[in-house]
Amino acid sequence: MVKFVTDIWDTFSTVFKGMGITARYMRKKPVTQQFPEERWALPDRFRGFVHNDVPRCTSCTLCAKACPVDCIYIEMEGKGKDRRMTRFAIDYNKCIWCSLCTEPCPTNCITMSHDYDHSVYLREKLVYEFVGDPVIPFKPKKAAREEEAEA
Amino acid sequence: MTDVRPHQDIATPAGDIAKPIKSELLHINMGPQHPSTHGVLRLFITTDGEMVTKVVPYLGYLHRCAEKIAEGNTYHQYIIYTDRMDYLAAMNCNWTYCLAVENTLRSLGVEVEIPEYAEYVRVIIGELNRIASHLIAFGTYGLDIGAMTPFFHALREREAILNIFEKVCGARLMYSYYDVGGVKWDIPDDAMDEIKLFIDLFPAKLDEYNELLTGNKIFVERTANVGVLDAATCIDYGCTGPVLRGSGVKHDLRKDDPYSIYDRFDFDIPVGTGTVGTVGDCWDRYHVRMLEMYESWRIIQQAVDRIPPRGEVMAKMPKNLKVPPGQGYYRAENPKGEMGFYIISDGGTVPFRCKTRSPAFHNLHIIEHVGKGQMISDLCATIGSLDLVLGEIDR
Ligand code: SF4
Ligand code: SF4
Repeated sequence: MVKFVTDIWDTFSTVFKGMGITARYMRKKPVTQQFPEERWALPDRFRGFVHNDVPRCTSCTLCAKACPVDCIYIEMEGKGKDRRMTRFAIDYNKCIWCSLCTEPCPTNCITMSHDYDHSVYLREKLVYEFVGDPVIPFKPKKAAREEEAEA
Repeated sequence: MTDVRPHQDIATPAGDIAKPIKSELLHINMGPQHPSTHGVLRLFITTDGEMVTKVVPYLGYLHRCAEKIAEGNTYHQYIIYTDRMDYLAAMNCNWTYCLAVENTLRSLGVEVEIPEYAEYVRVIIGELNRIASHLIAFGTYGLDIGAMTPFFHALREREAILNIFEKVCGARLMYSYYDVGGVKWDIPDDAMDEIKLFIDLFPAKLDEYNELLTGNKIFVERTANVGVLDAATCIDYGCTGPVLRGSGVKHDLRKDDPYSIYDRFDFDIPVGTGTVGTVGDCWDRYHVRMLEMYESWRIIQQAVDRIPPRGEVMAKMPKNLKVPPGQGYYRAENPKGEMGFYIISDGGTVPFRCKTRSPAFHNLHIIEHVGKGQMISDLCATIGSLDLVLGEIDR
């Protein structure tokens, strides 16, 4: 009988202790944000969608080799002077935002951007093509020489 | 499939309609989509009324062949797959894997000198992740038992930790922050300030959790003397982490086999004492986690005080990491228990075999032993107290 009463007393007292904490928080400001309207500031290192700055890309395929899930597709045609990059695509269905591709890039043209909300209805739309018409790959040495010549 | 038990004669008030009641054992599936199995765990349970007579876990719903994938990826590339094992403590999984590769290299004669600053960063971040993981364990355990509020409180503090991680490595769940030979980036100043702020605020929050849930009479009644595991059984089943410590065994690799720089810090290993029930009951396992959060907080505090000025974060490693032919096993204390990686190398850039010893896998299997003879609701309490993460069990 004594145990019964103390049990009931314990139950109520501990529950009310918890309720007290809840009541304390009721008077405080909420810590949540209303997402689409309010957005938090993204830190510098935020890893969002991978972006490639094609004019600076040497099409060396180092990024495609570093990618653990093989989601960077690079296609080229021609040899030597006629070498053209016909395709540089990233399949965001597969990409896991690991930033391993950004590490070996010689010109730092592939970067993790701060975009993160690109919802689409079809999976095909998540394969982003960065190259439309075939482009001449960037040549760091040649560009440096040209700059020197201009200067 | 049905086992029909001998008919029982039940006396009814109206004697003439008394007929034997036919009762059967009922086989039911708990999960794979059950809210209290913490992921896609399917338990095949045989019940006799409200009592459970047999529990068989069925695994494989989250199997991603991680160990096979390892054989096709370089040592660096596999780090990101270790994230996806214990996704609540991805930093610790990264860390264990990197330790395994580094120690395999060392045992095969390759010198890996991890910078002092990187070691401190590893400890701070790893312990923060331990707190984050235990917060989820605490919050979801409340949910399993039927207490909603603690979950929100736990997630609020976890959010603070995730914000720190976001500043440090740019991701909130899959960090890939640790690298073979160090860490990928340093801790920026604003993140360091946030860590200090977190250190200041956290003990008060911990008291709040204890007030909310630990001492709550209803919670105690639901968990004390439920799912009691004695130390010998735990050791037989290979349980580690809070499950083993909850049964009163003082075993923590951070103290027993110190790796990294854990021997420099002053902290205790909490063990279950049976304060409100028996040693090794659900409450003890839960309470060990609460005490461990406090110990982790102590470690972080000491590490932040002593961290050397910012310097190198990576050891000098070759770009194309090759491990000489040989093998190595290394284990470390994850929030869930003892995690280990066994690496066999044939000298190439990819491991020949990379076996994972995951703690939750071993902790789960004790459910067969402890689930027998429990009520169904107690089974939920027991599963919650084991703190399972299915990503790690199935890999
Ligand atoms: S590594 Fe950089 S330069 Fe090379 S192909 Fe990739 S994006 Fe282009
Ligand atoms: S972030 Fe990772 S997965 Fe995505 S493209 Fe780069 S290397 Fe591949």
